[in-house]
Amino acid sequence: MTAPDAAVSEWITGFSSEFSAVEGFMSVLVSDFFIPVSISLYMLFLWFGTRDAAHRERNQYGIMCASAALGFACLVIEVVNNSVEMWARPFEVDAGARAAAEAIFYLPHDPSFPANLAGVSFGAAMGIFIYNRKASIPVFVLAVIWSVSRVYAGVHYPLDILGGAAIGMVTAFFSYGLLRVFHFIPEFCLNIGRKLYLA
Amino acid sequence: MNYDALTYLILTFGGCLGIYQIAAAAADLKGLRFLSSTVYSYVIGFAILGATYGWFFTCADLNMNANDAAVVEGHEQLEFFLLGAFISLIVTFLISSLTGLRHPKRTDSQSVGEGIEDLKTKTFFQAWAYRRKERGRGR
Repeated sequence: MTAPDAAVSEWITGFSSEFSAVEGFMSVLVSDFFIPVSISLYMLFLWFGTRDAAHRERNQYGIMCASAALGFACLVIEVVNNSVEMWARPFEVDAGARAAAEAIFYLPHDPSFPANLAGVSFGAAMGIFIYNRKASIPVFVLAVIWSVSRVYAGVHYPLDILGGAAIGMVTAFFSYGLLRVFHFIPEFCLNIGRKLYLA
Repeated sequence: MNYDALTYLILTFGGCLGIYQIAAAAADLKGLRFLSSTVYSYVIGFAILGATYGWFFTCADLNMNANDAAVVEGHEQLEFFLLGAFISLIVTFLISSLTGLRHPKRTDSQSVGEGIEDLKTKTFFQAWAYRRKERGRGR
């Protein structure tokens, strides 16, 4: 089965054959490492790098919410991937997408919908957004870049990305609710962190 | 340890080491800096971060997860990141405490037990020793 937005995906992937000079740059962006490590390092910076103690604590709650959100997002996506098979990946049905995927990425074997990367990155961004809107902007930007790069590389349809992003955002609000109900858990973590000079 | 896993661990170690210095400069955590100057802390932080990124993204196999025996995907990626962050934190505490001995920033009148806030005036080991001393007095 082909995704309903296959034409959009083919149009975006089509750019990869026109701008071969940027392949090296795109292979860095699309990789499993550049964006996730950058998001993780940014979260680490937010945890430590705020001068005001009250502001820092708010960021630390945001990081805990983001971490829980991306964990739950992975879990939900794993369940959906194993129970529903929506459509094949773009490179499995389109020769142009296959060429793009082979040139700048690799050919993943797991299901296309929903996109795990979108769930993780948008879940983290929304988790931070709930506590500190301004601080979440870089994570949203990185999440969008990562998502577009995967469509460009021919390994995801835009609908895969939207599905993953929706799951990530819902799990962020779910995590926020959990942190509020079980408030003693983040408080306990922060108290342990303070004893070790980590919070 | 697998070569791919090791390169990823070095990326996370170097990245975190740089980020701790940048965060220490941004949050004025003098006890966490390698150098006393804020500007130099930013410079050293961005230099470590940039060098690590530059090395990894030009030398490592970015498609290392393509084969079925990949060891740096999903939860393994998180585990290696946490390991890298932990090792770099220990290294940061050690180096900042050693350099802090040459430039002590003790202000014993400040309250203790506020966690990271204590690192604004003391190194990790100074804060830890001071907290123990205060607890001893309290008994």
